[in-house]
Amino acid sequence: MTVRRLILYALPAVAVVALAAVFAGRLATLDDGTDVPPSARLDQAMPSIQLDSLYPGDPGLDTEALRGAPYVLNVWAEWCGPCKIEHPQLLALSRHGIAVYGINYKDREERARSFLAERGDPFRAIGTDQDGKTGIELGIFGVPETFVVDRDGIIRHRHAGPLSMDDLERVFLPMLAHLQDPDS
Amino acid sequence: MRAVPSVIGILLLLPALASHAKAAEDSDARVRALAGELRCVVCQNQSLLDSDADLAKDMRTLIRERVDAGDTDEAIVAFLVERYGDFILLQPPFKPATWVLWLGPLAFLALALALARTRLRRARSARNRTDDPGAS
Repeated sequence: MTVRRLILYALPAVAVVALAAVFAGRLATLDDGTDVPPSARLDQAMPSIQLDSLYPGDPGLDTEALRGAPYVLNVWAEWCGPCKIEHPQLLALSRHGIAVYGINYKDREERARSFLAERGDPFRAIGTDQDGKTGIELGIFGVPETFVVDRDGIIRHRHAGPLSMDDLERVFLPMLAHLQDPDS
Repeated sequence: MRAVPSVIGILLLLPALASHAKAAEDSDARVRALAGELRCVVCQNQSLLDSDADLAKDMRTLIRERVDAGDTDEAIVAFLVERYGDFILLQPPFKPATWVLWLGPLAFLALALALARTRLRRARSARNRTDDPGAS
């Protein structure tokens, strides 16, 4: 009788703890250290994006033309502080021979150009998203955001916020090495 | 007298203008309703309608363009869910992943009611037994 009653009374408490554990576990897998949820675009095809170049006269950005080889797509703006912090990491990626492409998001173009002239330009091509529509197309929450796309045009990774050297060495470079040579 | 034809012209145009204004009002209401049920993804618990964030403004512009282009509400919501996930919906959808969320409270309520019922019934039959002089 008392044991049965004890079990009966403990049941709700056990249920609450179990539910809390389930939710905490789920939250922990979602938490990547940023305050934005995982990208809905992850593991989906990179949308078809055609943008004019930041440099008038240069070829713009066309994601359809990028199929066949993995690449990194970085969305940034001159007015964005964290973008200044991550810029050396983008230059480092490009020095590693990674194909880095850019989207300049809702920016004053001449400022964006002088930013790149001053600090170095890691981008093989850079498109301008003046009205922010492409940003919404990609499901970005803000700038900077960086996408890793495989040779089939599938988005394999999305990094929200500035890239650190640690992100580069721990995540980006190994992942890109694997995407470039899946057998390695 | 030269004004007469233009007055007539304006009068003839009035119904068209009125229906145009009505259509604009309807699409305003649709944009507001849609923006009210979608989350501003860069704010804490504000709808797209309430937020002054740039991204929320851009999304309202996009919703307006799609409404004007004749898209259905469902198509517009689906468009944004494809890009931002269920996170953008202020009201979580009812689907297998959210069954616990929606049905959990009801299940607990049912459990509590069932427990209360058995306990009450047991208490009542115990009382009936002690009330009955012939039982003890």
